[in-house]
Amino acid sequence: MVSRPAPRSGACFQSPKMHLMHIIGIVGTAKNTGKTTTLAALIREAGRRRERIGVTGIGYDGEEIDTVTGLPKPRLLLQPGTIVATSERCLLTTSAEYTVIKRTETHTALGAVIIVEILKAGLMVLAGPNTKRLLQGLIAELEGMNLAALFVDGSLNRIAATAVVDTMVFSTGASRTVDLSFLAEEARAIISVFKGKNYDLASSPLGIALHDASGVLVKHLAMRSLFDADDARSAVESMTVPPASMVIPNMVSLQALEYMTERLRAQPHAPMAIIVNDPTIALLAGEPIAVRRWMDSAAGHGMSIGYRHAIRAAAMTVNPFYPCQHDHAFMPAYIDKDSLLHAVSAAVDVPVYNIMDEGAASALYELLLL
Amino acid sequence: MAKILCVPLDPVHDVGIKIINGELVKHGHQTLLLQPDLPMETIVKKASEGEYDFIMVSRTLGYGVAELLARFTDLLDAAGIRERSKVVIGGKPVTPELAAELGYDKGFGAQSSIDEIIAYVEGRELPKEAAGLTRTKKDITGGYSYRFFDAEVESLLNSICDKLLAWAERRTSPGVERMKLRDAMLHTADSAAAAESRVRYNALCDAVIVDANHHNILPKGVRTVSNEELGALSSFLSASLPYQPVRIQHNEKQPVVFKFLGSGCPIMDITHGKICERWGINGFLIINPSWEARYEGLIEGCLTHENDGTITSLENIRLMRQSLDESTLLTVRAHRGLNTPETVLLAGEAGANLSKIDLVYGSLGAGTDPERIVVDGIEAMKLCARYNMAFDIPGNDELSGVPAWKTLAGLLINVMLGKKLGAKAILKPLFCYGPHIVLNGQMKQNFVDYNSAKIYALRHIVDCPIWPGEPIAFMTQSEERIQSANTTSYHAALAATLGVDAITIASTDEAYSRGPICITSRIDTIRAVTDAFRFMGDAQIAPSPMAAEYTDELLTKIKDVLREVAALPTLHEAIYAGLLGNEEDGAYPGKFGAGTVTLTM
Amino acid sequence: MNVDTMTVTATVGGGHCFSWEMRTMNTAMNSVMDAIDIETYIVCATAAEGKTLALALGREMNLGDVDIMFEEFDGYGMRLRMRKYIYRPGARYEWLAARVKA
Repeated sequence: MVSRPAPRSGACFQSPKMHLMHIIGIVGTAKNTGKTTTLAALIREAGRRRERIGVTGIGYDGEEIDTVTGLPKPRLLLQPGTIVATSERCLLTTSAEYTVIKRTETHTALGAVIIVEILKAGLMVLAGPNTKRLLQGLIAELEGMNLAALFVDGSLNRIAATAVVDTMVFSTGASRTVDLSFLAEEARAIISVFKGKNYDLASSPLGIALHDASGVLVKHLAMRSLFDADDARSAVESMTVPPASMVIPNMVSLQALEYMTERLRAQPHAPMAIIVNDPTIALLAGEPIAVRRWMDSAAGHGMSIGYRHAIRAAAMTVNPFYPCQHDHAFMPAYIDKDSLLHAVSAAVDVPVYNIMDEGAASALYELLLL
Repeated sequence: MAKILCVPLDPVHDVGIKIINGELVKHGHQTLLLQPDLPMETIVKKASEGEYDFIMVSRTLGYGVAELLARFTDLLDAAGIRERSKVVIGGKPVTPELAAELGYDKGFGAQSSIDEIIAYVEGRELPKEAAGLTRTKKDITGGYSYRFFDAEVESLLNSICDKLLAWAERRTSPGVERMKLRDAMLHTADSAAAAESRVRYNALCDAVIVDANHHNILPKGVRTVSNEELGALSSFLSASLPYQPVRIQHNEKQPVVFKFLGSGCPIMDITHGKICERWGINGFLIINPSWEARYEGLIEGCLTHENDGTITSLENIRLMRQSLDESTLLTVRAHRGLNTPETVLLAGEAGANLSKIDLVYGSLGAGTDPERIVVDGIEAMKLCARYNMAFDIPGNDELSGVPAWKTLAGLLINVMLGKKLGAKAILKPLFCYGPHIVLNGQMKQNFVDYNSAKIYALRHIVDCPIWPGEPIAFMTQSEERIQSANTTSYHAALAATLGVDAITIASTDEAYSRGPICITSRIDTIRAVTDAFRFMGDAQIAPSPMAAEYTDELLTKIKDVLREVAALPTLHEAIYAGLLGNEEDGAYPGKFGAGTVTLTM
Repeated sequence: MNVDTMTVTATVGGGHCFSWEMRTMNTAMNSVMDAIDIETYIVCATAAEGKTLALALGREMNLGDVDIMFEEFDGYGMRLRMRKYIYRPGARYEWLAARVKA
């Protein structure tokens, strides 16, 4: 099973798998950063444009009261014709009228995931597949249903399950921290992580695969992840010469990445790409700012990170709201919305929206789907 | 056998997961319990090395912890572990919704039991019984022979009861006759015959009752429950599911627990009753309004009443019986007032499980003329036999100041009468700080000895079920809520240690007399008793040596009383004579229905 | 009282279809099953002052006249429990009317 990685220029804005529908993930840097508000606005836009869409969520979102802070949250109003994948228990409390299309084999903590079509508008809570494999299964179920897009609502700061989307919108805001410079730096880090090269590999290796400059597999390790410095050490020590690429099937930690740059710094070597499945793996290696710092420093030593499945980071949204803890209770609070928008916009080269601003939802919708 | 990784994600707390780990091992599962506070990448690495079926995480929650727990599921997904392992979270505030939000496959919270966790791991449904959704109806009288161990007591009781039954054989009362007419009306398909019975029934009723049943003039504060309200009740009950019903008893031997229902409103009674069922209450006693006792005849229909006591109409009892769980026992108080036999008839027809009859207390404490109550009571016991309902005998005359031995002697007379009439009695000695006890100091040292002595004495005499009441801890409760719950729970613990069959508990509103009992006060004492039963388990409270002395004293004095009663021609004459409680004791024979007993043709 | 009526029709797994009408109540007070108890400790110089303050507290909390169920003055203040009945037996309970089956 020899895989030959071949860098593709400009490929990071393409999905390796051609879906008839756009698969769009809305993920956040923390709870209450505005994912659901963004999704609600996009659903309204789809309704206005009479476009048929699907929606699901990897967690549990759309409830009236936040499960942690006890503060009111935006609820999702779904329009007729929308296809929804959510858990059985969420259907018991919906105010929408719907018809069941399919009861899937997937189960969440709230029961089986059921695919329904909305008949009469109403409020609904989303709790769909909670892992990337299960979300992949759902996407396969929805293909051929003539949907313009499937919107996948994130949950908290969770991102792993959305690894199978082709486009992402990142939500950040005061709920992550009220420190504007941190928010801007983190936003820049996140967007830059998505800019890694895309490598089109025929199949997934069983273990970590090392290739030479001509793409020939030189070594196959039993390990599938590099969890820590120990794992990185044994990987490095198994190499006779640093390879041109190292394909890691599962996860890698920042600790492991830092160990490798440290070990290979003194050793002259040709450019080396560390290839993981997708940008979510890189973001999960550590805090985004730390991951970006590693990327910058690694570049100086001829090392880079690349992806087998690129995801387009299309836009960011910002939310000035945050729950402020006061006397054991959470109170709603806001930072200056314009300062927040400017700070994040200046840091990234993708459009940034405050979804509550007039025209923002329409612009974001067009950016994502057109 | 499942392979499970137990992960205390908490920096400190790992007690919960340790207990779960221990239980999983006991059930034959292979586990690895990690130490607390490991770096997340280390935990994920461990998880990747073991081919686990389940990864169980415990963590207390606070702001920012949600993101941490979410990152954990993300790392497991990224590491490919979620393709083979289910990820489970446990912790006090965990709900299925929170588990879903954090990305876990299952969540167990404060209400979850170890059994549920084990069942989930083993991929099976919890048996319904363990979830408390179905429980079996307890037969309180099962296994009792009603054999008298004390030959002298047995012979005295035989004498008292035989004389009474012979005297009563040719006597009747308006109460007995109305019962027969009602029985006829309920069981005839012939409308002319029913109308004829109705005319005769009305002729035996007070005007207030005829006005209510035929002229729609209801007593003050009484109104008919509307069909809309009944529909709403039905919807409310079918839409509400008891959330993981709990058990009060910690083991099978501990007594079943009863509560009173008698707010005046059947809808309030039923909603309170359903909530109490969820908290583990095994049975209820329907308490009727005191004014019902004074009138000849019963009001019919589904009725609500603004004051204390729920009207025991056939419709009301039937509604309560049908609304409560099948396993829940229902007792209808009958011995109070002028409608004793008819109330037992209605209870039997409505499917109630027990009735409440005490010929002595019905007169001394509840105002009915002794001659009338013995005639009505005998007929009521016959009906208990017909409907296979046991009857409980509340010894609440002790509350007026009657000494315990007189009350217990009265209870024993009822047991023997029931035995002769084919009905099973349940002894209900009081667990109370009654006036006679206060004055004579039997509870000066503790509340344990004298209450225990009552049980020992009764056990010495007869093999009959015992159900202390009514409610336990009577006169020891104050308006202070915690004190009230505590004292109930201590008496419940004593009842459990004495191995009695049932207890009746009050709410923490017991000593509060200015308003109806509210639901939170009902739950207060149930929770307290549940904890007391858990605390006691199968351990014993050891009474002091005084308990044996009190037992001997009670046995001697019970026999003295029975000898005196047996010396008189009939029981009611003994009651008139004050042998079972006199003016000095604070007990006065009732006057309702005096002179209404007649000889039959 | 204002009542919002909402008809809900749902089809769940297996095609089982049910619908009901929900009449949602618009006050939290209507959802109280029977009574509200308030337990507190009032700092006061005498038992009489404590009682006066307790009754005033009930009015300040918009509960009108409350019943003092239990009081215990200890020299520093008064530990007490007050009660306000929202529904007495025989009343028409709004929490019950909230779920009427269509």
